[in-house]
Amino acid sequence: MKPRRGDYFIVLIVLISALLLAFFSRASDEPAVVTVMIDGKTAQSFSLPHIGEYEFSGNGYSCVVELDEMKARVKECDCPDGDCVSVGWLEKCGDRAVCLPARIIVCMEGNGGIDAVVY
Amino acid sequence: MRKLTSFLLVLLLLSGCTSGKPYTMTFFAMDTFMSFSIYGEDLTEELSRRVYELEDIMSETRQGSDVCNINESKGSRYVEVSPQTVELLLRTIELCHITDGLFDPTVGALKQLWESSSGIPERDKIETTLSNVDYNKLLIKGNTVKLESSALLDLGGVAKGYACDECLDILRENGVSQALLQLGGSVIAHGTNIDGKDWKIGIRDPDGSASEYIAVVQVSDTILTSSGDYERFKEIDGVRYHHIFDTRTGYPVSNDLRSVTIIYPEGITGDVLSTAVFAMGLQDGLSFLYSSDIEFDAVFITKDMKIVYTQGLKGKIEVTDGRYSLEAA
Repeated sequence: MKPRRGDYFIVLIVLISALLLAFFSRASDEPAVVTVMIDGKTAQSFSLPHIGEYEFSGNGYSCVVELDEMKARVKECDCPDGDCVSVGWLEKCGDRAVCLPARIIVCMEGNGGIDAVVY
Repeated sequence: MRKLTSFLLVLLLLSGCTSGKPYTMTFFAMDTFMSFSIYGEDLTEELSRRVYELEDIMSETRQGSDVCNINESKGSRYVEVSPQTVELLLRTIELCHITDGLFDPTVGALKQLWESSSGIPERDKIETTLSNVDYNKLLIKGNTVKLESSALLDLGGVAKGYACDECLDILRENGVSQALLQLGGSVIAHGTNIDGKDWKIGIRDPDGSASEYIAVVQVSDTILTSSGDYERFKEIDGVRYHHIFDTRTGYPVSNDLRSVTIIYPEGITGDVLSTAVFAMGLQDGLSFLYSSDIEFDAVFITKDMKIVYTQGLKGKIEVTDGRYSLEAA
């Protein structure tokens, strides 16, 4: 059976769709979302870019999370060690600031970058 | 032509599957945070439950845990413990022999001495405490354990490794072939990623935060464990002291290394080896690696800014920080 012009059209559409899907499922290292989790549950997600300061409380402590366009950080926290603040700006996919006393995690998420960091 | 069109449509559907979402969970346990991403079946609850169970058994601060009971008995009697504790201790003691005691789970009192001192503890106190650090005094009879000295048992160096092994068993028993689990600093890279490629795991920047990295290794079906001078440190007179102790001196390990990452598919072994090889230093660590019956790969970060990797990682590691140079062992 000889292929018709319509068949070529379908093949073309399928190939273009597959390429587009492949492209969008492997996006760059640029983060798309900042997620703030408290005690393992998502408290709030921010699509990037975003500007603002937000206060989150967990386990008796409060942290201020600042978002500045494509980056985020724990700006202030009244936890005893301050490790979450000293992490500084989070800019890449997979970057995160963890506040163990407050049980708060601020995490940069996206489709690219690395899967985890061993430490 | 229809066959070709059908094939392409299937291909399109499959390419859509690669964006499938994993079942995820993040929680706090074992004094750190854990993050699970599992493809295919939601085992997050089951895995987290197992981790909490192990934390209950192996915590050195939680009253009623096996470790607390052993330490509180002060060597006066054999204490009944869970089968998991026996299993972990037997394997750990085996690995203590292999590493000539450079990993020793009886360092608890030494850790406490350093943690409770505002400065450097007095030398005679260190020597007295160190004289009791000896895994040979850890006696196991059936499901009972006795620590025959005034040393304290501390399973902090292996409990997460054991939890990794338990989690991996659950994944395998349930036929899950793709998952990425982070238990504190340890990473289980189970199977491949959703695209069928190696997982990309960053090696922590010893001068940065826990999410900053200086190199990336591509791995599958393995567990990665690190020990370094960056964890739980305190500064005394501008000098940084970390929590990994040299069981030969009683002081925090100090040599030519900043960190060691062990890549090996068993968690307890990875935990013990990362501590012991870190204590050995680069040359002795490499000699141990080449002579050991355990075939593992390692990444050494040196104080002179080199990233030294073993042969199994050839073509699978890249530096992402220009301050460091890459070198094959």
